[in-house]
Amino acid sequence: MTLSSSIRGCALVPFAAALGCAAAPGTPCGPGFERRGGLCYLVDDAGGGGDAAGADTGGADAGPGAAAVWSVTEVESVFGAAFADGIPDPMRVRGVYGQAIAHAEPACPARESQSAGTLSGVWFADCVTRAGAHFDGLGIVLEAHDDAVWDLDGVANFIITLPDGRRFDGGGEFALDARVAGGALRWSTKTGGVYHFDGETDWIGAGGEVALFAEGVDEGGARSVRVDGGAVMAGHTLAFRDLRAESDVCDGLPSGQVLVRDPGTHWWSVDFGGCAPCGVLRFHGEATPRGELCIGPAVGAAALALHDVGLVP
Amino acid sequence: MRAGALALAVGLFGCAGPTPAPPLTHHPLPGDSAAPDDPPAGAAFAGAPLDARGLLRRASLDLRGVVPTEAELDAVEADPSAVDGLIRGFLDDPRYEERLVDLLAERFLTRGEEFNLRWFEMGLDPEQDFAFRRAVGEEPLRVMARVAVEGRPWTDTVTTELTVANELLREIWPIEAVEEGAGWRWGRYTDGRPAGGALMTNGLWWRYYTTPNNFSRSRASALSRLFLCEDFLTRPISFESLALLDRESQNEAIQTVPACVGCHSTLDPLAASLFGFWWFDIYAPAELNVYHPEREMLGPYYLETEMAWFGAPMADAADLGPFVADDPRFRSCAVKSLAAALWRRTPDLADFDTLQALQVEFEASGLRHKALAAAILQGDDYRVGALAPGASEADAARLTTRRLLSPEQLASAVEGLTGFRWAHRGYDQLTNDVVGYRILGGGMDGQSVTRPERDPTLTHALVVQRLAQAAGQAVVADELVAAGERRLFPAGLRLTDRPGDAAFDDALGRVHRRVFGRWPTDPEAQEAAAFWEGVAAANGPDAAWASLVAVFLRDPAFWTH
Repeated sequence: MTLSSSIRGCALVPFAAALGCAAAPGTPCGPGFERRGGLCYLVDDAGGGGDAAGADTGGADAGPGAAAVWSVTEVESVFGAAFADGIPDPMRVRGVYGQAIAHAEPACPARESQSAGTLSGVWFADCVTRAGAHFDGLGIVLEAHDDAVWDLDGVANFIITLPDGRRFDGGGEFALDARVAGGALRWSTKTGGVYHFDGETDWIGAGGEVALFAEGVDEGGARSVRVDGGAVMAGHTLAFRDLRAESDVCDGLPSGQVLVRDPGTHWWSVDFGGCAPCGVLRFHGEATPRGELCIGPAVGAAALALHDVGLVP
Repeated sequence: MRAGALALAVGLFGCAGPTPAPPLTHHPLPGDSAAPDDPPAGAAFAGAPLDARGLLRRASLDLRGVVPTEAELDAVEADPSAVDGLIRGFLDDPRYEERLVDLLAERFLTRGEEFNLRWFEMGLDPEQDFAFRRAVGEEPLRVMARVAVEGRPWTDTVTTELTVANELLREIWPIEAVEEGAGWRWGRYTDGRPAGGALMTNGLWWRYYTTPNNFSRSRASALSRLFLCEDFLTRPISFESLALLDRESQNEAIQTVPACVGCHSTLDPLAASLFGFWWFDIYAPAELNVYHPEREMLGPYYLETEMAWFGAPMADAADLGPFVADDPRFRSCAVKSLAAALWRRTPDLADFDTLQALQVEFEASGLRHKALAAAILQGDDYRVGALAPGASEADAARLTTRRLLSPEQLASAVEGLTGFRWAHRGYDQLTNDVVGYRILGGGMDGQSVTRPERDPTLTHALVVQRLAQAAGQAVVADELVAAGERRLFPAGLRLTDRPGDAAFDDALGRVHRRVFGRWPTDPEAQEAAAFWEGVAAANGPDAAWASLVAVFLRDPAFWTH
């Protein structure tokens, strides 16, 4: 993965350096921006330099009732941390559910509509297996899979406690529709809800809040992906609006918008386009940008990494 | 937005400059000699005011939920003009907050009992069922009532970063207390939801839930109706039936068919601001218990529109509260709503001047709800007790000269008099319908019944009968048999006292006065004593007192005001 998480023209920040940053230090800022202390600001920005919160928030009018809690530097840092583990892959829920339901016994939970080789099964139970797994709630998973199609629809409203004490809390929906047609694999996923599985180190272990809708096409070794929705990533709340990336166009740089919500409950947005690694940073929908963030490579790479398993469950 | 708000406000008041408030017609306080059919002081008002004792009783029941004390009755009998000071004091009484919750419930309809989750899904015990249902439904009402009684600007009801929660809500939802103490306290959600007062409470949106495919449109409609008195459903529309089977075709119709656009051009952008409360699964505790910040931006995806407040763009959900607070309809709606609650009728066009004057007072007070309440309590429409000579049939149908106590008032008034609260298996029998009689007693659950009864019904009579009988037995058993604290009966009364004994006659008069707010006439006292003697002869004095109290409580003069 290539990650350029520096604000245009900035020195590499630590996380970016760790993951490899493509943006060379000293790169000029875009038109209308100037570099201050490693960050790009509007030329007429009255915010001044420095890293103190408020000092580098750009000074633009945030509108009544909206005050930026984060500085631009902090926004950059948050985006970097958020994308370090990629965008939550919707199929992760399926995988964890598969682990949990493997502890089922014929009578606990009694499942209807089971299908060999899939996770299909509908259950509504509050029971404990002989091995000590506790299934409480409702699970509806319908799955069909062959060489050309992989369909999955799941509804989660359960708590599954495994014999080793680990607990899987699920509430929401998850779905996949993938099929091969004309030599291309077209897929779409929907993952919405709250999922938490004890003991995992990724987003689902941290208590995953997701509302992600992704679709893509894999054809001839190239991928194109579109992402909408939102998710909690590395403890930060992000959203995606018509975020698109194509592996063989613009080196995978994205178009569309990525947003992050600050502790003041307002959103910062970064708009990408024009094959640029840097996007325009705005706070609270202001007309006047606060700066530019060069997180395009990381964002594009994260998008292109979604559902990269093809038709293999 | 502020310029627009100002223009709207100017339009409302019909001029471009400061407008003097039309005077609120305020009758001179009548003494007891004033007959109910005295001509009204207001030139065109078709009603005559209550006398001072009647007004005291009405205000006490409306603002505190109890009948006046003997001392208060003494004060008004000695000086009828004392009633105004007493009423002002009622607004500072701790019980006013509870009554305000009751009144707000009639408008916001959140005290329902059918939520998508039940006690066992919340990890609660069965005996917590009533408390759970009640607490969920009351959360937004408590926010508004607390703002009101603490004298904060009414705009805080939609802008504060806090909620009001009790122990149960703090147990089941991510709420931390921000003040110490038991019961309903200020608290703060810890799930990252924006500030927004009642707008950002789980309780409000559990009541007004949205199906996944409705995408919060029903909630947006409810928000407009509840907080702005602007009901999308009253807008006239006419269109041919369309085949709208999927989201895309629905959105296309909404954005292109004129009959749809009329509402949805403002409804959908408002709905887009509510996605933090939108659930993928409407029965999953993990979904319903918390706010979902990551969903705030789903409007463009699902509704194909950005969030906006009636045309003004919103950047994020945190803008919702300030936009509501800044909307002149929010303030006029507060006035109209409280007037309706205290007048016990729906304001109409004839009330325009009165509402306008009330709004001026409300604004002048800095949007203090108590000031608004005080202004309403001063007006003819609140104080009306009878029709004026020459009043028309329309006046008779419009003015509520006699008002039925709500089940909540009935419960608290009877408890205040007798100490008796009708409960069964932890359910308050007059304020729930799971195993109680709220609707049968003239109340409402906010879901299947959305307006309180204005007139007595057969089931109301049956509920009052059982309540009165149980309360009569309880107060006698407690005060006269077990020698408990005297609430209703004078300290000097003993079970051995008989009609003609000074202690008996004094007790009879005082009980009558507490229940009805006035001394009995001689014929009334004689009739009551005769009734007591008849029952006592058959079943003893304790049964006689219990029956007499029950008869008093069943009298329409008690359960109306």
